[in-house]
Amino acid sequence: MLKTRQCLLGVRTFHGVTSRIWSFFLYILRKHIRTIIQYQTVRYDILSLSPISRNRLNNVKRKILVLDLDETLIHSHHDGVLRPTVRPGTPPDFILKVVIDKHPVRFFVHKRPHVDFFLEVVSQWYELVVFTASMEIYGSAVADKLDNNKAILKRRYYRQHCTLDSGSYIKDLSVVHDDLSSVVILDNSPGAYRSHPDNAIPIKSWFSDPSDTALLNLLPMLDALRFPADVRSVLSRNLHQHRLW
Amino acid sequence: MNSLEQAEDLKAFERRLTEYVSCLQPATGRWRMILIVVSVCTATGAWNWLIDPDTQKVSFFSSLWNHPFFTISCVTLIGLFFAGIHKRVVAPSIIAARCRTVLAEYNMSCDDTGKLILKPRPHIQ
Repeated sequence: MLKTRQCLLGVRTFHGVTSRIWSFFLYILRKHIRTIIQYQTVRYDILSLSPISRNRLNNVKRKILVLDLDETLIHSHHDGVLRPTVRPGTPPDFILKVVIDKHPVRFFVHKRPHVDFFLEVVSQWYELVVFTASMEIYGSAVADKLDNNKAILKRRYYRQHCTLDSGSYIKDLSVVHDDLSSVVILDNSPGAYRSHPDNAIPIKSWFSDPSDTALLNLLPMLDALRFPADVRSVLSRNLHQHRLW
Repeated sequence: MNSLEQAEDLKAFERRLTEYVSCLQPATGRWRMILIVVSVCTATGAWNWLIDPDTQKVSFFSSLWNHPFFTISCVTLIGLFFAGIHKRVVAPSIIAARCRTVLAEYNMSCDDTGKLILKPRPHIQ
């Protein structure tokens, strides 16, 4: 009787240990598979400017790129969400512990593929500004993580800087800079740049797709957009004006 | 903003696109040469390996051992594909294609050299 109990205990311990090792193995595998899926041989090498372009760049103002966070650069979900948009078991890139209304909340943050590379490259071309409709306590923590002590995301605007209009937050770009000829906003929700459609670059909302290349796709365009004196010369050709908001 | 300034801006915008694509060309050309040379080496090596009467008699590995030229070039070719040479030889078109996906939003497109194609504005229905 005692022997059977001991044997059962042994089997249970063995099962516990192996399942723990197995889940750890799966965790590592998932993390690496994502890296492999995300890998792109051709990214965007910074190549030198021709003398004529260099001259042009000296004659135009350095531009400001306003970046949205949620569903543009990252996607996050917190503890209480019943149906998370990411596949269960997908390891987050980082976890944030934030206190909201005296309640500690854990945010599981997933970075959009190539976001670090994107920020590294565009920070050399533009002055970067974070403008999010999220709360400051959460937005600043995410921006700190993305910045990673490089001091490229120093200027930040949050929910309190947005204007609320019929239930949606509108980002007023004149808060960032009064000369709109040199401000570009990258946002997944058209409602956010409703008052400045000619300064906007739309981007598809991102939730979990590891093969997404939207940020890489933007790099050639953003590289070239440094050269016009007024960004609206290019961006006002947009078609989203024809769509209903 | 008058149309002259806008045209000037679009020209400066296009200049950087074409300039970037043309800057990629020398490296792409080098990768293409490497791919061609290694492919030709592998093909000639494979031909010699197949026509050798000993290949069918001895085991697979010893036949490879007998043809080091084929083995090395074949391994190099596989290595190059793992290093993404099939993407590197078409890098300018990849960049141009990415650019097109974004420019479509602005009623524009570009060819494989980065030259802009402006489309007429559609009529509002």
